[in-house]
Amino acid sequence: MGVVPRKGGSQKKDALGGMAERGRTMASWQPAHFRPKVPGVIKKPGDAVGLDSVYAVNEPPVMATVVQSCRLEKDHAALLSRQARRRQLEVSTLSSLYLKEKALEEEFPGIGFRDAAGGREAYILGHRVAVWEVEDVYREARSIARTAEHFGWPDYLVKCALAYAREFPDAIAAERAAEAGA
Amino acid sequence: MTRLLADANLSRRMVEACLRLDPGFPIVHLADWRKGQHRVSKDPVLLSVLREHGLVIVGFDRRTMALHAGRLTREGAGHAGVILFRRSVSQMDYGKQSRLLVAFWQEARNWDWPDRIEYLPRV
Repeated sequence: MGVVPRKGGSQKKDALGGMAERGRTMASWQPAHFRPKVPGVIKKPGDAVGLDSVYAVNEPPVMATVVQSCRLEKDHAALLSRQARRRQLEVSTLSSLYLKEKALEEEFPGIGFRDAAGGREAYILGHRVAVWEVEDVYREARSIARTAEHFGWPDYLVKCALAYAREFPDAIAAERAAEAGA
Repeated sequence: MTRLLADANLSRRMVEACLRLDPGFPIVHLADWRKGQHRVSKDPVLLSVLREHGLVIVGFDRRTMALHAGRLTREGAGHAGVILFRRSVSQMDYGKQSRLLVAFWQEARNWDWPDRIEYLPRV
């Protein structure tokens, strides 16, 4: 996989019809936050924005992006295209989302991502609880043990959520605001 | 007969507190219901399963839950009811949560619950 600093302007389409990012501002290596009305969402006139179409990439402060290209087996490329169509996204946007989230999942074992009212949301894999909810309980509990007891979990799950929250406080705050309005 | 299911963002301690207030209170925690098999289920799936079982879900307010419930109603599939604690209620104040829920349910248990969403405390 090659990494090429973006110089702006359009670039050649690859075999997938756009695996490479083309002159677009994207959240870099941080949790993808998604809102409607962002480049990458394929939207037809009259389409309602609902939970099925919240894959609009967050608009964080402008951050440098790089072009990354990769080769995929045909079957996997077709699968990616189907999923992008289903989610009303461009293939490149979905590829970027998958790459970012998979990288984060590798970095923070136990964290996954899901759709939520405000876009994508970090949550505890194997449970229905968002990272921001764990952080909220921790603020009240003031200890990992009490937080773990609240959820009936082992301590490591709480530590995992808190580690992620510490790394991405702005994203977690945005997710909390989207869900709880505070 | 169980009528209420406490979601994962509520503690089992809240369920225990409800049962201390009313030993026959019809609530079960998600982690204990059907051997915890829906502990991982996404909102739409869980709401659909609960509809089949006629269980009202109780949880802390998450906009996503209300959106999913509303969508199921609009699509005609429906849901069995949702009760959400407002975020003004402390997450660890199991006493307050249980008092609010037990008192509310005394009044609301015979309501027509399908497709209803209620918030506690009520305004």
